[in-house]
Amino acid sequence: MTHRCDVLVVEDELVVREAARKILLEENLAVAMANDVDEAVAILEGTSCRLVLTDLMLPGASGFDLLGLTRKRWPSTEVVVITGYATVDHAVMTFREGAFDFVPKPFDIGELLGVVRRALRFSADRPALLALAPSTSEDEVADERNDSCYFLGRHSWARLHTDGSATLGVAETFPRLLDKIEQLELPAPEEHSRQGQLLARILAQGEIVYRVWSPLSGTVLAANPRISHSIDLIDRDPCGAGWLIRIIPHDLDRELELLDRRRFGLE
Amino acid sequence: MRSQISHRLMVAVAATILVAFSLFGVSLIVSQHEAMTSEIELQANQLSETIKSSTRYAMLRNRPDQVHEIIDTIGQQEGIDQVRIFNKEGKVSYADEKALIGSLVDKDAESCYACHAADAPLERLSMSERTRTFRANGGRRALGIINPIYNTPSCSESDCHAHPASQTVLGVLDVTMSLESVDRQMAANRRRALILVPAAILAASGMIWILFRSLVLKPMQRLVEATDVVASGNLDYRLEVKRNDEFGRLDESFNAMTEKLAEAQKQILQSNKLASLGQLTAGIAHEINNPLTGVLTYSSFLLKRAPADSEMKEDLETVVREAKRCREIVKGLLDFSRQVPTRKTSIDCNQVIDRALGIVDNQLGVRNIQVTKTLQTDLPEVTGDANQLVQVLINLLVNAADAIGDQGGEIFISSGVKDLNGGRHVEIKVADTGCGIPRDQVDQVFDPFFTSKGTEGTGLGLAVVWGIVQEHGGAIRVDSKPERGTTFTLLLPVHFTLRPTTTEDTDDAPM
Repeated sequence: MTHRCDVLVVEDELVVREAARKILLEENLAVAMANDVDEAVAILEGTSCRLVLTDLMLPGASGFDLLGLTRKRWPSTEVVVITGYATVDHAVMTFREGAFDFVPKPFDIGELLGVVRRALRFSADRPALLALAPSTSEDEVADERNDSCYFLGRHSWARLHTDGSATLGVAETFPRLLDKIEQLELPAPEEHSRQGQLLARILAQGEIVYRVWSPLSGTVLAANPRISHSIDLIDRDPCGAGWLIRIIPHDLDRELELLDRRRFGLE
Repeated sequence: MRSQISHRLMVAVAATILVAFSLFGVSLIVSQHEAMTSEIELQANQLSETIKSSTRYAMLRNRPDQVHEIIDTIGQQEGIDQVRIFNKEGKVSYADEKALIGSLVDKDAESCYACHAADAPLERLSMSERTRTFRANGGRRALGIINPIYNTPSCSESDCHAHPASQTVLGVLDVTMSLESVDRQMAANRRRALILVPAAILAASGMIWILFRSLVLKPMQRLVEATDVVASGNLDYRLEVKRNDEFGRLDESFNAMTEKLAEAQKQILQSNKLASLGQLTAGIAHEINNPLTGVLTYSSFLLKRAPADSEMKEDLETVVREAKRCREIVKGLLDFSRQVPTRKTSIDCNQVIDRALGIVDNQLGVRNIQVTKTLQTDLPEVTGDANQLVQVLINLLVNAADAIGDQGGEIFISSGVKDLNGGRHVEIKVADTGCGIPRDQVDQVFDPFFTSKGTEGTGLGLAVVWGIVQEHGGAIRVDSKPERGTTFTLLLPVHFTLRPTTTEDTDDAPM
């Protein structure tokens, strides 16, 4: 018996599970529900799902177990992890384990829809997106750029500069999965960015919120002055001229170890 | 322990006094004894000469009765034991003690020994050879002096014809004087010494003990008690510094140590408190997040369906807004509880300088720039991130090199210690002989995106330097003379305790 399943929600908290289901049904998505990892696996074995939305804390096996299992057995199914509270470890770990993204609780409608839309679009256009070559930058050679770049999954990147600062931005695939960008919210100078926590909010039509997690911790020096004039720079050259903010990293040695040198994370 | 120290000290003092006083006393007694003896000796000699000259006339006149009288008179004087005159054969001719007259003196007797020790009798003797001390009958000490009576022409030519001219020595006058008074004096001196030395030892030891007690034991006892108080957990205890000596300084350093200890304990307590509070809030926040998700989602849905401009819509907007506020509060709590691990270690700034120079060495060499390094050895360590400080120095060195340009020049880099605002700082200076900074731009050099290098620079190098130095609780200063060069002075506090960079910023972190 195979029926269509867009999203499988794995959550033991009834109220969260129901809330997620309601939100997803509004999008006309086919939603399946599971209380724990065993139930989830049973569903995945019978149905092909495009996306698994799983809590980390589950009775029995954890969301991390389900993440690993899904990546191994159903590689074309994306996983988005719901975290009770996002610590640096959780955030970075989800990306290292191959999650598409994570969404911290409590989420609102726009935030959940933002990440689910992106994940579904990625799964629909996966081969093309993975083959996406680094676009040539306006003022730098891509190879040289790669040498100084570190990635948080296929989500965001940090580039180290010889003057000790670092620029942060979103990965190439990121802008391709968004609706029309209406607004970009960036931290102000003097504020702190923290690895695995909110770097930027991209607001799109319909109160959809796309959140960008920071690959590095540091003190914000400035936002990209060019991007405030033309948001579409993110679209055109996300890894070059479309960088978001520049920071002074706080704990570079430790944090770089947690990031990937490869462009698309673990594939 | 303290009784042992004072005992040892007193024993040492007593032994020293005993040895010193004994040596001093013995030498005093010996020299006194010698002086008194030689005085007696002189007296005896004079006496003997007096007897000799006063009896001479009577002898020449051959009037033995007169000689007897003189000797009797003199022999009765106090301190004179015996006066004898005996002839060459040893027969006593005159003596104050009549019983001795006519008796023979053995040549081996102590009065004859001086001349008759050798086989042939000696005829001329020095004074010391003529004197002798010996124990007379009854154990009394006595000093005897012999005075040979030499033959003179007047003797041999005298009418009595008693002495032929061929004789050299006619006889010997032997005067024996008692040494009793000397011995009495010496005994008294010895007795006095035997009383004085123990008294001195007692007095000195007592004084030492009293001084030791007040100067060492009491302040030490105070410190021991203070240590006990602190050891029992009262870290607020402070000693009143009353003295200006080593113990005063010890008190001061004890207070400083206790203060440091209290500070460290307070910090540990504080961080423990924060950690347990953090665990608690994290647990609670985690539990609240689930119901909050429900509230937020369902109220948002209701809000979507609520008729525009209705009171219900307004009410629901309030619910959504307040639920979001709840979310922010919980997020704030979670951020607060989250300890961002910092990688701060103890750093030797000289190593930082060497590492930075190692990295930019090539670049400087190519541009013909001479680097002079003056590093103070034994720099105190600073707390911080070594990599960041290396970055600071690289930026300063690269800036210096850029200021110098391609025509070559010099960079001076030095390290040292400076006391500032009551705290010790490590001071690092990077000076160049470059183009300098125009006066109106000096204040801007640390601003982000300020650059004098045109399109070459990002304008961030010094902003990064500034940020890192701030992060380390330090300060940086720039002095520049246009066309002469620029000096950057970096001050990093020694023993800087890092403020936890955890929670002031909560606005943009996710839950």
